[in-house]
Parts: sequence; structure tokens; C-alpha cells
Amino acid sequence: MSRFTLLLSLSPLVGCVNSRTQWVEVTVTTELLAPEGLSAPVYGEWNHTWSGEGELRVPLLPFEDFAAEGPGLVTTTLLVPLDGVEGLTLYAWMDLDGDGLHCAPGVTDEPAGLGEALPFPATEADVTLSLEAPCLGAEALWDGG
Amino acid sequence: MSPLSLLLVFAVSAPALAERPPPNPDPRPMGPPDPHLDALAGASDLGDWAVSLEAGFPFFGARGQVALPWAGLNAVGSVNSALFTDTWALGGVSRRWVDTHRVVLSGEILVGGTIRSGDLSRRGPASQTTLRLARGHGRVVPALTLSSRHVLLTDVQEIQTTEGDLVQRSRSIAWSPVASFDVGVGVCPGFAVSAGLDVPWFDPPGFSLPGAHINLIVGGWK
Repeated sequence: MSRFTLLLSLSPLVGCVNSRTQWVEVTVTTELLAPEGLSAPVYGEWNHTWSGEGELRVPLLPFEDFAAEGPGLVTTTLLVPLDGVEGLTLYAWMDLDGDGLHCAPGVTDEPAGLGEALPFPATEADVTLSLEAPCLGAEALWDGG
Repeated sequence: MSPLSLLLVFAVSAPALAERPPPNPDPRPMGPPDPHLDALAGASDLGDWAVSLEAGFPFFGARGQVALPWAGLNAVGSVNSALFTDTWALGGVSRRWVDTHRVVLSGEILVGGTIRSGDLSRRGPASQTTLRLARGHGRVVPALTLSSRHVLLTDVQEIQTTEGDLVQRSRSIAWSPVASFDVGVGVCPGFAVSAGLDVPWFDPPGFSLPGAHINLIVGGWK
């Protein structure tokens, strides 16, 4: 039996791929800007700026946690799918009282911010995040894209 | 014929008589007279064949078998679909393991492929192993079928990195067992019908609705 015939006979068994998805490994350089004199750990999440199709298309779908020791430059590597999602947006807030919660009852001054990493899709992107909106969630900071 | 001639004939034929195999203590008195026993039992006797067409909920399909002249094997081909969204095309061999005139137990190994469309779409090379137990009651044949289906799922991830494009493959196996109970009735020589219940189990541990079907069966001529 020739090699061609052998490959041809095996192709239905070995050549059938269930799914094929495309991803990009993005190295994001994040610049966290905080109000003068404030320094504390920063927490948040990376979001797909848009996800879904048609009536199910929604903004800001979180997919990865974010953490930094404080304001400044932070480099993060993310594996982001390219199928069914668009964009890369970071939401973060500063944990001034160190309780691990954003604006727990009685706390009204923990600043938050939202920023989109550009360019996307690309293997390297930058985002500048100004932590200047106390106690606002990502949906309140979203300007509609 | 002289006594000497009789003695000579006996002397020549005695070894042949001694080598003759003993009669079968449990012969199948009627063989497989109707195709429904063959089809529901999953394997035909040498020279026989059977084809069944199935319709119901959720399964539709066709299955054919023909006896091969080696080791009691049958060649089997099967196309089966659940609501025309989960389709399996398989081929392989079957063989009767236990075969009396009352009970037939057969095993079957098929390989091929499957394609499922819709939100839970999947595709890949597939296999199916089946046990069939059929009991002959003349024209009425009840049969139990237990099938174990496996699909090899190969997922490919193409990743863009700063160092170039990477391709990663991951493989998993999806299992879908199906149990069926049928009662076949011979209508006339070479033609039969059967009706049955199906208990499929798509992608365990999720729950799947049971189903029912009818079969038209032809074949069985030597």
C-alpha cells in the first residue's frame, strides 16, 4: 500500500478537527494614575470590551483578575480569544482601607477607573488608567464604547 | 456379496465412520428463518443479510449487515441521526457470541465519524461498541441493545505571540451510551417490523429524554 493510500484511508480518522479557535497573547503595559498622595494596592479585572452577537451583544465581560501593589507601571500578559469578542478594557480600584472590598458600607472614597488597552488585537498594548472616580463600578464608568 | 467382500467394505469404511463428528446436541432447528432475528441480534448467518430502516424520536437511521465467510463475522454499516443534528456514520464488524435456537448474544465494533450541528456542535472520529441480546419466540423477537459511543474531540488553538504563531492541540473523549429495547415481528418471509424504546444519554451526566422508534427490516435470504 502506498503512503498516499495509507494517508487517504487514515484522513477521516485523524484529520477531523472539532474546533479551531484563535487567540492572541497580549503583553499589556498599564499605567495606574492615582490622586496626589494616595498609594494602596489596586485590584480589578480585565474585560472583553464587547462580547456576543446580535441582541446578546454586551459590553464589559470580565475574564481575568487584575492586581497591583500600587500606582505606577504594571506589565501583564493575557491570553485573549479573538472569536466572538472585541477589545480589551481594564477596570480597577484602589483599596485604601485594605479590606479587600471596593467601597464596603461606610467607605466612600476608594477611587476607581476604566481604560481600554490599545491597539487590539495586538501582541503588545498600553492602557492608562486614572483612578479618580470614588466608588463607581465599571458600568457607571462605561461611556458606551 | 460374499462375506469376504462385506468384511473388506467394513474394513475400508470403518475409519471414516469413526472420524465423523458427533451430531450437534443443540442445533438451531429452524436456523434464522426471518430477518428480524438477524437484524435485532446484530449478526446474520453465512449467506444471509439484513437491512433495517429506523424512524422515531429522536433517532432516524439505516443499518445493514451481511455475513462474511470468515470466523462468523458480519460486515456492518450504520447511519444514525438524532433529529438530524447529531449524525453518526459507522462501519465495522459484528459476531454472534452465544447462539442457540432461543437466545442470541452478539457483539459489535464500529468506527467512523460523527457531526453534531447547533449550539453544542462537535465533530470527530467516533467508535461504537454494542452488545445485543435477542430471544427467539417464533415470529416474535424481543431484543435488548446496549451501545457505548465515543467521540475523539480535537480542539486546535492558534495563538499569536510576540515570538510568532503557536498551534496547540487538546484532545478529549466524549461518551454517549444508548440503551434500546425492541420487539420485532415477522410479517412474511424476508420482511419484518419492530418497535422499541430508546434511552439515550447524550454527554453524561446531563439528562436526555427517552425516545421511541419503529423499524422496517428486510433481508434474510440465503
